[in-house]
Amino acid sequence: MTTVGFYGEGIRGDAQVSVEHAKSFSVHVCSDVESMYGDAVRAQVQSVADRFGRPNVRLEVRDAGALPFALEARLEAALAAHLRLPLPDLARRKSSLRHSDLRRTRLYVPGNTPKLFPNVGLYRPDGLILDLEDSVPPDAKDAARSMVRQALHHLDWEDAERCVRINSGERGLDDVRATADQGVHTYLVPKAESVEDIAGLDRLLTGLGSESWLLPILESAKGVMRAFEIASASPRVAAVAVGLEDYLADIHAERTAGAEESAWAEGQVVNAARAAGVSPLASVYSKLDDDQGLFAYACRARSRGFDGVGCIHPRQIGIVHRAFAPDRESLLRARAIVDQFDIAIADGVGAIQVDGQMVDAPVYERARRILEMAGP
Amino acid sequence: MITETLLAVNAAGRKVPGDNPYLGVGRLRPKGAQHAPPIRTCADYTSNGDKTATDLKTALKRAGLKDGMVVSTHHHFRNGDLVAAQLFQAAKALGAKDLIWFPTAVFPTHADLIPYLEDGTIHHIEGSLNGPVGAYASAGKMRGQAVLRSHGGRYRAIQDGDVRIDIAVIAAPSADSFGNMTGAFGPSACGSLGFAVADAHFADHVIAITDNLMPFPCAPWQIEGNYVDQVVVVDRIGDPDQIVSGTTEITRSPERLLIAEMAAQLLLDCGIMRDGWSFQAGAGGTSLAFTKFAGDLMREHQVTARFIRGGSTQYVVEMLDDGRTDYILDGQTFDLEGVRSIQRNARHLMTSPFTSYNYHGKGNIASMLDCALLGATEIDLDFNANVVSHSDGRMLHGIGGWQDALFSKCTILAVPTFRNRVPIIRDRLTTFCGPGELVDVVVTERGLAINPRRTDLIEAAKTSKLPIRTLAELKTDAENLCGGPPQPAETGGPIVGLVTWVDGTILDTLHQVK
Repeated sequence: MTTVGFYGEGIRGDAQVSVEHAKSFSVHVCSDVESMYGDAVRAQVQSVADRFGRPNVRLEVRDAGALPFALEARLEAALAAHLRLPLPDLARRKSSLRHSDLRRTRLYVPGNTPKLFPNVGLYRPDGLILDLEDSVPPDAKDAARSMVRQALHHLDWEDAERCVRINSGERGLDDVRATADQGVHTYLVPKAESVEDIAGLDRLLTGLGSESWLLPILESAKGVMRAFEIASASPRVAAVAVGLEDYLADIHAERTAGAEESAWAEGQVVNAARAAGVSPLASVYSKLDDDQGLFAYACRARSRGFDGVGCIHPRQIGIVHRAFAPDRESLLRARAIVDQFDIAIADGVGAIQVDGQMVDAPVYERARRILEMAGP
Repeated sequence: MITETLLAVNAAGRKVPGDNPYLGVGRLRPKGAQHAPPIRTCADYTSNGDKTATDLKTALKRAGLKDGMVVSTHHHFRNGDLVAAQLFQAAKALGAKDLIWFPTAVFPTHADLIPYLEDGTIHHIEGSLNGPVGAYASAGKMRGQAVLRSHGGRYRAIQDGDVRIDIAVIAAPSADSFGNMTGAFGPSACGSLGFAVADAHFADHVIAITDNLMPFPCAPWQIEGNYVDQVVVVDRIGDPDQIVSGTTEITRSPERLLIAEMAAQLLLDCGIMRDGWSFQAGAGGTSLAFTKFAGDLMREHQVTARFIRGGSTQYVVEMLDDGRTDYILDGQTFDLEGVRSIQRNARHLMTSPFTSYNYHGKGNIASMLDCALLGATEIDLDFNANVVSHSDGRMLHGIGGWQDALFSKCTILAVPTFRNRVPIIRDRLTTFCGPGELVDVVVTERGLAINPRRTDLIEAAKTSKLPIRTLAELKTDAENLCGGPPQPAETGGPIVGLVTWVDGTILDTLHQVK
């Protein structure tokens, strides 16, 4: 018997699907939302089963109020695993154009926890990472891949960068193959240690006709050492992040309050990223209840040259955005530059002076970015 | 059993039984005089003031307990209540049958009383039901109907004589032998005893039950001994761990935090949060977070409230202590910080549903509040709302102070657009509990909808950066995620409960659930 998903005490927005061999095809459904969506649940079960040719199995569905995208993922993952078939084709989803390239915050969302998915865009992270790697236990990797694929297909998350953190190695390539046509802006590559790690993914994405960016995570002594090579391994690399938890374990260091143990790696990654012309991103801050600590951490990351930090709870997003917000003086100055340069552009003038400072296109772009960082 | 032919359509468009249909907000003109308990004489009570009885059984016998009587208890101990169980154990031992239990609220611990419903000691429960007892009643197993009233509605029903209490048993964390009582101290301290005030004033016979008898006077008292017939001392009246939590914790749910934060921000943006304002604070997930966020904004913008109506918790106590509010008017005390504050701070006042909620009075505090933030299980496109039943009709929550607090100047319903594939904004409510004309704003994780009747609020919110949307848009968003609108609910089973409005008229019915 193959069982995928969760049902029981405390489980919401998920479903558990079990498949076992039988003499003929049969379906058994019990749903916590029977009085409202019982008919819809049964119709969806039949429709997925049809796509697998109604095999001779007994299909048991225990539904804890899974939204349709999550139910679809559980059903297809269970049937595909049991019948040893690939996931059925899914219509291509066009990649939406982001209005911003800010990466102040990137929110990690565990890939096998569907109840979190529908609302994560509401917290306005710059980027959203559907995680297939560390937050997913080994025996749930396939289920999570199906879940992330369906979530990408069905859900919108405002203007957030749509990211997937794949697994390392061969499984990671399969993660890309399963999701490449579902509008992924960026793939996060864990434990990146060599140029080949990136080049291989570049070739795969090109072969799949994908325009996705790559975001290598440097989280080992080797990876940090080769930061520049990795950051410049492909034009697809948009940013590099440092992953301190794994890195510090790798170099046998302990976390201290002053964070001296991280200073070299952070400096190295910032420098390498800037040299390669990509964005350096700081590690996550793992203490959930320490708002002040997070604010200080984000301020420090910003002053070290990082463009953003990783977030593990939606509540962290606002705090980090505050830390990355420009101060009042630079904001006023940026506003003046943008306003006056906009007029100059309209008049066909390419360079002007604002308060005695020469303003041309790069200065204008930097000013626009400051306004963007300040938020709406 | 009530048949369809006896049903009339009330002003909410609901079919209800009897000759007392809901007429609309403020339409009923009450007549006559208030109910009065029998006149007593000091000649019948010991002149030394000692009213102690040896045990509860003796006290009930002396009170004249008979079959079919109405007996009441109160929910100051919440899930830690040990009084209702002792009451019915004693009543059963005396052979009483068909009693009507008239509690102020029911909690999961009261599943212990189901055997008394089954063996006939209790005929039915007159009040809001939830948890295991609610499931029992919704399944049609309870004789008689549950009559659901708000806290204010219960006070009114007693005052107006709709319900005549034969014997009130009031749990007293501290009492003297004369019957003076307080909840402010003692091993089972619970804060305000406000919910028992109506029972003390209007019941035929009043029994104080305590585990902390002290020499006269038990002072300062909240309920005067002059209302009390007998005092019973027992080992335990409540489980302190479940009466008040040591601390009340803010929810970690990001959706709820987002909703609470947007609600607080709206009040600031619309100028409702200003010096001298007032609001209702609660202890539920979103309410508590709202109180904290409102308090944070008040600190940041140096706004002081004149009073907070609690639901007192550590968060409102902190605001009283640091001067962000001048007073707490406490209806129910939720944590130990609240209890300690009552003990030490004269500006932390204990109130009752008479003060705050009684609709048949000469005004009440509820309508003076600048804001109340409440929950709901369902809301329709006219802002009408349900708070008592699940969308399958099962009794889920008591009305509590919900209907009463709807009268605040800005009533906010804070709800997610869907819970576990159950959309909250619906074409038709499963149970009608509150008229939309009293609901000003609905705040969800996907934006806020302002009642079109409140053109002033819509205008005031124009400069706000908050996502202001319509209920219809929010409904569509949720249905897109949930896979379309839900199937219409199956109703039509026998009536198992009545939902009353604050003036005692019948708003809606609850039906047996398969």
